[in-house]
Amino acid sequence: MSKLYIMCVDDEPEVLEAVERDLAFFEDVFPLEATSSASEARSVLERIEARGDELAVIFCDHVMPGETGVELLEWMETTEAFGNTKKALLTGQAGLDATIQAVNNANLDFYIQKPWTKENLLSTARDLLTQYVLESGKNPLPYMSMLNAEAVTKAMHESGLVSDE
Amino acid sequence: MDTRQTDLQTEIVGKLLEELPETGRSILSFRPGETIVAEGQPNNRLLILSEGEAKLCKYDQDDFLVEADAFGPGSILGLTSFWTRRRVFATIESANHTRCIAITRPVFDKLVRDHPEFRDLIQDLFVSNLSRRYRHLVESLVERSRLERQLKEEHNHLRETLRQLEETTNRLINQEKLATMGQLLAGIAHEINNPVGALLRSVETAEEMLLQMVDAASNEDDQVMIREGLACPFWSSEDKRARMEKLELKMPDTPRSLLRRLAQLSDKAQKLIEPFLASETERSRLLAIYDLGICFRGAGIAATRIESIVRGLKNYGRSVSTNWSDANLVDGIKDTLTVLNNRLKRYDLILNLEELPTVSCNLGEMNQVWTNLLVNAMDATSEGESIRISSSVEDNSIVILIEDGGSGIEESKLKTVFQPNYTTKNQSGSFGLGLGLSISHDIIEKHGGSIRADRSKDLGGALFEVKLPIQ
Repeated sequence: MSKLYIMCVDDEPEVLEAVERDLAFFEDVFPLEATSSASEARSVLERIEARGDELAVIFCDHVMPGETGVELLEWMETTEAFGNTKKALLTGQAGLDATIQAVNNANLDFYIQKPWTKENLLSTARDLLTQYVLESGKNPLPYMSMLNAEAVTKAMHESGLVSDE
Repeated sequence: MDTRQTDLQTEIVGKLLEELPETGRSILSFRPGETIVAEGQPNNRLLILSEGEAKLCKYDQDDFLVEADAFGPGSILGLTSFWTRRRVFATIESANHTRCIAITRPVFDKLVRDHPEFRDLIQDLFVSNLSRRYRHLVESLVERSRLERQLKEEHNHLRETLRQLEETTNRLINQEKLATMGQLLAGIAHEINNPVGALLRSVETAEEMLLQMVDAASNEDDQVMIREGLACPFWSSEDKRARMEKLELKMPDTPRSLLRRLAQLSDKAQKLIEPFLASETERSRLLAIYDLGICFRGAGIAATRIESIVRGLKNYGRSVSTNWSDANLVDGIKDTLTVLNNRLKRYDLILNLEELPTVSCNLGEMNQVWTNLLVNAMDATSEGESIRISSSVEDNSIVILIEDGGSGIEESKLKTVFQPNYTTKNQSGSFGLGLGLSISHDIIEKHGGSIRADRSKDLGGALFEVKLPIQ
């Protein structure tokens, strides 16, 4: 079974360490990759793709040396393997223009403003993971412990997989 | 009026008074301001001014009274209207107490016909009057031409003054903006500084207390773990990944969450925890102690970083209003970098900052120069390209170079860029008045230095070189 990854990208080591610590919560079901630049993210993404694994969710800073977060997300949107990845910006300073660009061209799914709270980050990640699993048509059961149970149950009811009788 | 002519006219008038038969003339007196000949009226007498002065008054299109000519004794008043039988062209007023010899048309005709000596005298007087008027006209035209030239000069001067005034106003606005920003920065920095100071001291104290507590109440392993955690290296994301992969090879089937926490450990801590890996309770306890150390380290580093950012902002803000002092330019450049960091981090910033001797300068103004040059460099350069700042000492000068990999400056414009209002940007820029380089140029000159623009050989874009003498 292919693995579903979570990735976070931030150029500031202290910030990356903190995001990594928070998102590691999902690790035993959704392995985590922490990267410090867009180019590092791309090379890790290539390896994920090469192994036949998938990236379910990415949390990405915007302002970074070199390629910006929005540019990375745009590239992912046009890349077949990561077009369906749930994309979130985790940033303190994406201006209106960059955000519009991200929504229009990268199909941005979520925007979290820094400083973030662990609770908010985890619930967002849980929702995005749930969406990804459901939309990809995978069997949600192996991932259930880390998903939004209510949403999964509702979706299964709607699809007729489970009935109340 | 030509005195010789006046004398001549007075003489003629004297003769006239002698020669004229009593019946042929009447003497009229006028008070100051009284009208002698009225504009628009018919005039059937010839008036010869014998005493006092009169003036020719004409209203222009805007109803503004112009005194067009002045008459002295011997002048004929109403000459043209009498001679051409047209209505009076311009009013003549008595300037003071005047007396005129008045000759009516029938009397004039009779005198001309019967008295050849009168005819000769009056002819002389006519010619003398007309020539005086002609001279006056030519002189007026010459004067007018001079005045027009003067007016044009004054107009040009005024235009230049207006331009300078606009420039000065813009400079003042710019200065005011900077001063306001400086006050804001210093104010905000001060506000943040207090809580951050408290935070930093608390973290430090808490760290000491924690160590005391662990040393007093826990075993040696815990004491090592907490210290290792506090000193935990900042693994790069690549190092961390490699460490995780190495651990995974060594201990396959270990959950990734555990691998990640183990990868974070220093080598010494990894070795220490190895015997306890099988015992979940002891393993978790040791990892928790280590992580506690990491959190303290993180809090300390974050607070220290805020403190240094705040210090940079505060220095930059305060320097806006400072006076001349012995200062280190590199410190000022670093403060400027702190203020611009948010934008600068999108570029490949190369710093070749050599320590410099202190120089007497207005640090705030010098920071304004670095800010202008760096903002220009960023505006001209695509994100991700290089911007380089170098400082060095050459002979007896400090040399600061700011280079970029942007579009550069056309060779023909390398000198004009320092003129006021030179701008390639629209008003959306943070300053956008086209004064940045002009102000920078003035500041550097005031410091006895020089600034020049060129093409950066290494980076391909613009190069600005600031040279300041070391006293």
